[in-house]
Amino acid sequence: MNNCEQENLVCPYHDGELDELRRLQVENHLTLCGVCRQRLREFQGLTERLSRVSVNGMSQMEQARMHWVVERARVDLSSRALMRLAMPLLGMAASLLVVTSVWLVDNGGVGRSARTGTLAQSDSSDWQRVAMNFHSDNKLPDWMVRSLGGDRP
Amino acid sequence: MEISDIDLARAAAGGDAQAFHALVDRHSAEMFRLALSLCGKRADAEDICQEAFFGAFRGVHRFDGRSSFKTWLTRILLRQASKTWKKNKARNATSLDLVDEAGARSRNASPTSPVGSVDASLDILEVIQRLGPEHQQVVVLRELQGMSYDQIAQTLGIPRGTVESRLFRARIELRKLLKDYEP
Repeated sequence: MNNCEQENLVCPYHDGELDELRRLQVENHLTLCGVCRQRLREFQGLTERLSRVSVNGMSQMEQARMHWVVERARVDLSSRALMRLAMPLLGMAASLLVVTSVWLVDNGGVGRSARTGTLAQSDSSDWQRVAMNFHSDNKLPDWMVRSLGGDRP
Repeated sequence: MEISDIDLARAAAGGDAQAFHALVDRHSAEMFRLALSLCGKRADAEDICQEAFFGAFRGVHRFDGRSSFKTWLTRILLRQASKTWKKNKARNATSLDLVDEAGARSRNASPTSPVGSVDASLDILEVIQRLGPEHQQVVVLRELQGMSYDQIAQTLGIPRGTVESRLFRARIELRKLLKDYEP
């Protein structure tokens, strides 16, 4: 098919999307131009054919699944918000755990015992020394120190 | 009195999930038909709709009310449909086989038989799948959704002049593709 300069106006003319003045101009042009008349017929045929197309709607099950997806999105958002809150707290707890472990290793025999894998008899004197230190600061009751030394209350 | 879409969207943005469920009830059927017109397969249409509603729920706080909620939702759905179209491009060989089969069926069927008319309807939807996403969108929005040029321009975020030229080219391409199915 040959082209016409005004051919691109056939589309909005066919869809009723031109203002009054341009619509009249196109109508006049159509009486003179076979190319545009042919194009208009093609578009009209296409629209007529597409108007007969029926697209099925969605079933109740499909709609229920849409709601389920929204619910999933809601839970997803809530858990993300919870994670945002929990992550700093978890970080703080982990830091506290590390600091406490270091403190315990530096101040008692726990670290060494843990490293050797046994709480051997030989280590008990370390425990006693630590306990006696606590005792000298009046941090442990007498019966507890005596029991560590093998005495019965 | 019915609550407007914008008020429901604002409530949803404020954390009211029920408000968003009301929006799903209002728009899901139309969105599904649009997705089905664009992709031609129910399973794909459902996936597209689900992704669109999922995205819309997560981004509802960004909805500013400058366009209608439906336009905003349609824009999300079209983006999703476009992604699906690109993802399925590799599978197009299979779809084209189906189109060719359907074409052969409609050529063989009598134009007056009910089978012929059902097939013709199917053919058109299948042929629409053969258009690129840009042409598909304007054809479906205009011919099947009945949107005006201004509404299409707002939904696609393109100038009105682009809608005119894109629709012109899309119709010519669709006409050419449909010619193969005419007896």
